[in-house]
Amino acid sequence: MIIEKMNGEQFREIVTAGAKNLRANYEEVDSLNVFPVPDGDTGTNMARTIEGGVHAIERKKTKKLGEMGKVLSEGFLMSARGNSGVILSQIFRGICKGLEGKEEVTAMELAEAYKLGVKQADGAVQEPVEGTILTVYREATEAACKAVGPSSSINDFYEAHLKQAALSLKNTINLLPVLKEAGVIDSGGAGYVYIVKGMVKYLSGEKIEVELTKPDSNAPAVDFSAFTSEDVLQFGYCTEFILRLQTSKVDIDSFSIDTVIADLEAPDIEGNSIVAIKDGDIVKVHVHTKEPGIVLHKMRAYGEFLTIKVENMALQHNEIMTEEEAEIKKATEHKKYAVVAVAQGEGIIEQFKLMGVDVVVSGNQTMNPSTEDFIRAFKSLNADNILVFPNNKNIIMAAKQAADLYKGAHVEVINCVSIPQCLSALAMSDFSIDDLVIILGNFNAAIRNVVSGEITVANRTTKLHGVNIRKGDYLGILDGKVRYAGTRKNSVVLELLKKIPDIKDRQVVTILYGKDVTEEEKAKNIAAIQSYYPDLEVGGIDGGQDVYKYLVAID
Amino acid sequence: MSKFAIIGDSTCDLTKEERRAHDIDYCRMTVSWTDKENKEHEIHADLDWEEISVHEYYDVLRAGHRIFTQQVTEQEFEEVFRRHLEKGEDILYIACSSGLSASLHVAEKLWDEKLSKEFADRKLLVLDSLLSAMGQGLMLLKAADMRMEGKSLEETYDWIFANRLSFNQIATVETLEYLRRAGRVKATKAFFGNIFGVKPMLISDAKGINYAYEKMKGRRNALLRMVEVIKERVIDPESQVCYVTHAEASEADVELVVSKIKETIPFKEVRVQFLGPIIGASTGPGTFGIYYFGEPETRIGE
Repeated sequence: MIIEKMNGEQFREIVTAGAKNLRANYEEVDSLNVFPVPDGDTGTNMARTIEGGVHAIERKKTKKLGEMGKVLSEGFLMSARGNSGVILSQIFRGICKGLEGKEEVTAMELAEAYKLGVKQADGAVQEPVEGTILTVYREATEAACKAVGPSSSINDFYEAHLKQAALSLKNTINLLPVLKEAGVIDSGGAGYVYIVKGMVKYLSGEKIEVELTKPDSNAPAVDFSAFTSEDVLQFGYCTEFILRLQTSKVDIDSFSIDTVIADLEAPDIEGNSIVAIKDGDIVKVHVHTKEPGIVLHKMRAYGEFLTIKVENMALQHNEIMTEEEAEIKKATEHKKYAVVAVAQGEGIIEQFKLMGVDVVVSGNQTMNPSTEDFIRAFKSLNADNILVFPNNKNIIMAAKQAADLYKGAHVEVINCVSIPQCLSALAMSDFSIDDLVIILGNFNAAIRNVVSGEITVANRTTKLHGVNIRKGDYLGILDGKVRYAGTRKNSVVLELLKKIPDIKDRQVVTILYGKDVTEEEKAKNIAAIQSYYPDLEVGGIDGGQDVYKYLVAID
Repeated sequence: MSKFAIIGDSTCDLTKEERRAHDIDYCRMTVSWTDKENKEHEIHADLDWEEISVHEYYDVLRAGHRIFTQQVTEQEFEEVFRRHLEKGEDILYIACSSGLSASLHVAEKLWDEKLSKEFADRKLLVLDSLLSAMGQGLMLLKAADMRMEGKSLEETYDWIFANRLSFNQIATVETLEYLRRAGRVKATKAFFGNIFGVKPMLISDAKGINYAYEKMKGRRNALLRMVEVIKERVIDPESQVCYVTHAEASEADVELVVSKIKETIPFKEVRVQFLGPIIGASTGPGTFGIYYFGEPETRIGE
């Protein structure tokens, strides 16, 4: 099939084919991991990101390309996870901006839209590095733009785009030294090439027989087009408010919440999904009704409003909180500062909660949370300032994207890229200072000071950061660099500590044990450190994390 | 020259030599514990470690036994006060902080209800030091100096009362657990949760309660921070003796603290001694407390 001009439905089919082809090959992309550790995740992250976009447009029946693009772009944004996923979402955001207001585009118009993708994605990355998905996409776009003219088809554009993308991908190994040393090509670039291959397959009539994963239970974003000037109000409004009872209107002590509930259930309001709580002179209500005006009017008989929120439920199916969630949120104590941290492992999660983390977003190297996961966490809080610890380099961008999108609080994403860094920062947290600048300064100082150690088992033989690694070796990593590979399981933590240049000036070592470390290994590792470095204060906590046998904070 | 007795209690940490040189008496509290053979011990919290050695005492704590501390009894007060009243002396009792011990109320009650009637010509003034350990000790020494200069009981009381917040404490402990168990600390929320390797900086606040107001990661950072705090707050160091007290901390730690103080602050003298049995029992082995005269401590723990 040759497409001369691409409309909305065709664009949907093309993007869906791209998503399917990546889903068919994501495991191979996952395996393109610089580290010999079974935690590659780029393929998974990118597949889930593009699937989020596809789910958003799946049932959309429109030929209007611009409309399709808008919905796609929002779907992408919310499902973005992992740095490559976030960059991918920004690429499509740029492309879709170029499609805005259009019913269909020619190859040359599409090329212009793709150029906007380059700009948008570059802008999203603070320190762009050559040899990544950005390079692959940019070079492929430049080549395709040169290749198409007034008589070119959409097929011509994508074929030229794919041809250069594949070449650029091969070249990534020459651009990034770390790729060269490990002997792999860039995983994000590889994921992108699979997407474009899928698009070209569709255009050449080839079917991709693969099922996309189902959308998350509470998936994409608000879509105003879900309620048009032709629509009839069917679901009503999700109405939430906090009312302060007034002594001039009621006797606060004897006032019963049943009075409010009776009002909300009466025929003129016909409320359902009612949650109503009275706490002292505060009444908190969540109700679904077609008559929010009557609700507000009636409630003023008892008090005055502190906050009111009314939303058309046709627009926000995916945003509606369950009754339980609503109740939890309403009952949540208002805080000036709240902390969201990403973690995996029961012990680590418990420890973080003890140290004052309000919401733990589950996730790690192999399961990066999406932008939407963060937004959901933010929404569950009732705070002025939300401080986010992503605890992984590959999660920072999704957290920042969520921070940009969320308007309910001031959100700060802390540049914290490991669990040990987070542990040290939390240990020094002191919100009683009540000055955001000082609080953040203390966190950053703690993060700068700590050395993060990670110990895992190598899953292939390779050389990295100048260290020869055999499959099955204990692999010791300090601040992201491999520093030890060997077999000393009872003193592996000590061996790693010895690689820290200023270990003599260090005072506290906190070890988080992975889930399969035996009691004997724990005791022997601690004893080895104590006898070699008697001045260090050493302690261990059962972290229960996967993949990493030991996570070590050295302060 | 006016003659009045100056009396402290078991938390004041003055050595026998200092008490003798300055003619300062003290009333004893008691401590008790149950050892691992389930045997109960109760001894006087004596400042000269005559009933138990420092090392044996802190070993009890290190072995995980809880040592309970009891305030000065009415009998003990009566015995000590009488000794001086009967010689015709008035008394200035500088007491352990009311935020830590109820001893001073026992003394006041004893005076009001009994001794003041019997010794109608004598005077007894109770001064709440809002401190303990050598903070209280420094006040007692100051009172003795003023008595030497010929100041009256009232003049001495008034001056120390007016300046009591200027007697400063800065301390750090290995763990807050001892203080928390004894219910003798206020800490910001930041100290809750099991935070390994984090050391609190403790002041005695304006209400005489230990207040963990700041935290440091690592013992050495905490020890060095104490010296920084002193440097920021000390007044006229050339004319005063700084007391470094500790609950059997390591020699290396003591050496670090003392050399850092000597290197950065020109005190007339730095003296090192052990933290007494009462405060030591409620702060734990390894505790450091440093006492000096400085800016008035006006902070109040929340």
